[in-house]
Amino acid sequence: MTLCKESDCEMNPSTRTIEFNRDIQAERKQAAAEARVAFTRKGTLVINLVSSPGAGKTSLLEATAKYWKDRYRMAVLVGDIATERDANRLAPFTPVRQLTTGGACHLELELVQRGLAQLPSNDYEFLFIENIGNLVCPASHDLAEHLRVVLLSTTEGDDKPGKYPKMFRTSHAMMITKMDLLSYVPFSTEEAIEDALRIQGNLHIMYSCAIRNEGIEDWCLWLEGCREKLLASQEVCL
Amino acid sequence: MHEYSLVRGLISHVLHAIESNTPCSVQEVVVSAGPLSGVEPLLVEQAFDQLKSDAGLGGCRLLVEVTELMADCESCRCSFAVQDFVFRCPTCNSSSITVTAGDEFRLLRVKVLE
Repeated sequence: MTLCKESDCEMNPSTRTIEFNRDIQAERKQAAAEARVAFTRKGTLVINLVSSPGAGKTSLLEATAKYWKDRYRMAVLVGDIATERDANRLAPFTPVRQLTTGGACHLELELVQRGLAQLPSNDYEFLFIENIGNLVCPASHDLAEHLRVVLLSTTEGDDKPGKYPKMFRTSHAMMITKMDLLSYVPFSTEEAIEDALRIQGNLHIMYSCAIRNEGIEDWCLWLEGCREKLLASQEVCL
Repeated sequence: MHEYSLVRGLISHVLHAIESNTPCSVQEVVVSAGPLSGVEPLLVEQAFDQLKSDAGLGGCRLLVEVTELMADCESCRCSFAVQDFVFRCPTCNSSSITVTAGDEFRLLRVKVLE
């Protein structure tokens, strides 16, 4: 008989193998899927904005809120490791809540749902989740979004999509930002797009310069179209 | 670190699965991870080594099986291994493909002492 050091229990030496073959994130994915259905039923299109730090997520959201003004009910949940800078920046233009992770490199559904409960209403037509600036970890976490939009700025390099395959594979659209800087940087939009489409052939491609309000109308019209399709079909597929 | 969050989930699964067995009876946990699973096997092993004792799994060994990234083409129905993260069918060049393996972090089996 063998004594177990940790619990002083007695065990005989025979072993048993328990087979599973299951996704470790299955429950989390199921919770996200159920939350997504609830958003769909409410008519809320949920957009998860992902990118490297500084690619322009907050600027894009600010421009979006200014473009729509009171035409649509939008809200933003902003994720950061620390500070409320982004929420403070957006607060004059849209309902916003800061989600501070205190060190986690990605947002998870539970934190998003806590932030959702703090928003002034539960009746938004567009809910944006501005994820932590990180092209790695957020790719593996479903936040119940209908759309995952990856931002790639002209200052980052046109070879980035292939370096972050999971993020680009799981995205529905790519927005190339900071187009005003294109003439100053060695960035080829054609190569960046080709690199991204090799990974996800269904990516919808857009361009913007948020500080000059360029590309914002196309972006907003695309979102409005996506929401109309969602309301018509009650399904996520676009 | 991202892997810590997922390994905590793994440990939770294992403890729930062993039911009436004590945590110290768990000898081995076998998981699989592929190129699109979002985890690095070495970091998974390190995270498990750091977290297992607190869960009473101090005597447990973790094995990580690395799986290939596989996909099915929706156009010509062929199955293929995705190379270099190029998600196009090597037969008909369609981008309408579905990943069938290698994009999840999976718990395969647990060996317990009876």
